Amino acid sequence: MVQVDTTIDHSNNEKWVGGRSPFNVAYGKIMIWFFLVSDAFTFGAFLISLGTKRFFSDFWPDPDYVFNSSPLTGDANLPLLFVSIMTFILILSSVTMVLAVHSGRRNDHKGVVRWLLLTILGGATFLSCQVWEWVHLHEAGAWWGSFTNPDVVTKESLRAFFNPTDFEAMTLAQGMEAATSFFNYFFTITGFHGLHVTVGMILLITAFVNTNNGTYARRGHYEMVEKVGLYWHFVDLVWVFVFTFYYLV
Amino acid sequence: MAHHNQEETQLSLYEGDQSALYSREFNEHRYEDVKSEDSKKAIRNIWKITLWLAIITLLEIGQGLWNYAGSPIPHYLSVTLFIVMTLIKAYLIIKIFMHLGDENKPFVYAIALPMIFFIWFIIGLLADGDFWLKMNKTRGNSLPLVEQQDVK
Repeated sequence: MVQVDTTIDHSNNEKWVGGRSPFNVAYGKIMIWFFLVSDAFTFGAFLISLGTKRFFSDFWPDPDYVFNSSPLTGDANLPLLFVSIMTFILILSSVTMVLAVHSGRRNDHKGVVRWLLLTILGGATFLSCQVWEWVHLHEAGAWWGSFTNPDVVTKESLRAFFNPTDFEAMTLAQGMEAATSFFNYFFTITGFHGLHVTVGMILLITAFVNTNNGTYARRGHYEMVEKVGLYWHFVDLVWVFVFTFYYLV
Repeated sequence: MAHHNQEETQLSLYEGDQSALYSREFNEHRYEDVKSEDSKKAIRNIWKITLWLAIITLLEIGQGLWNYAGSPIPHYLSVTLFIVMTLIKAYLIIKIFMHLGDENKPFVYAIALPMIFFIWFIIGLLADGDFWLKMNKTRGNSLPLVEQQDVK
C-alpha cells in the first residue's frame, strides 16, 4: 500500500496547505500556458481549414508570385524577400524578450528596461511591415471577397497571383475560387495574428511602464515580464507556422 | 525538486502573491548576479539558439527560392522538408525561449499532450478536402455556373 503523508502544517495556513505544489510553477504562469494551448487550437483550426480548402482545389495561387514586392524597390521581382525580413524581425524581438525574462529572473532592473524597449521596437517594426503588405495587396486588387463577381473579374486580372503553368491550365472559375479562398484566408489569418501582435504590444508597453515606475521592483519579482514573454513567444511561434504554410509550402 | 523558501521570505511576499513559493525559477535565480558566469553562460545559450533559428530560417528561404527557380525536388518531399524545419524551430522556441524545458515533467505533459489532437484534425480534415475534390471531379461539377461561360 502506498504511504500518503496526510499531515498538514496549519500554522502557515494562509499560504499553500496542499503539500508539495505538483507543477512547481506559479499560478499565473500555469494559466497563461493553458490560455496559449487553447489559442494554439484556434490558430490550428485556421491553418487546418486553409489546408482543407487547398486540398479541395486543383489550383492555388503561388506565394512566390503573390508576395514578390518590397518597399522602395519599385516593380523589381523579389520573391520571399520582404516576408523573410519580417520573419527575422519577429525572431529578433523574441530573442530580446527572452533576454528581458533572463534579466528579470535575476532582478536586473536596467536589463529588463533595455530589452523590453527593444522588444517593443521589434514588434512595432513587424506591425508596420504587415500594414505595408496589406496595403500593397489591397492595391493589387486583393481583399476579403475580391474576385467573386464573374461580371467584373477577368482571367487576366488573376495572372499576377499564379505561376504561368497553372495560369494557362485553369479555368476562370477555378482561378476565381482559388484566389478568393487564398486571400480570404490570408487576410483572416495574418489579421488574427496581427491582432495578437497588437495585444502583445499593449501588454509589453504596460510591462515596460510598470518596470519603469518600480512596480515589479517593489513586488520583489518580475513574473509579469515572464508571463508577457510567454505570450510574445507564442506570437512568434504562430508566425513560424504562418510563414511555412502561407509563404513557403 | 527545487527547495521552498524559508518562512521569513514567505512573510515578506507581495500581498496575495504566492508566486515565489511555487516557482522553480524564482528559487533558482533570484539571488544570482546577472553578470555572474552562470548568467553569462545562459545568455550565450540564448544566442546560440538564435543562431540555429536563423540558420533554419535561411535554409527554408533558400529552398523556397530554389523551388521558385525550378528545383528537381518532388512537391511532397519539399513540403515534408518545410514541415520538418518548421517543427524544429517550434521545438527550439518552446523548449528554450519559453523555458518549457526547465519545467517539471507533469507540467510539460500537461501542455504537450493536448497537441495530440492536432494529428487527427490534420489527417481528418485534409482527407476530407481531398475527397471533396475527387467527388467534384467524378460526380458532376458543383462549381458555379460561371464554369460554362467563355474565358474572358
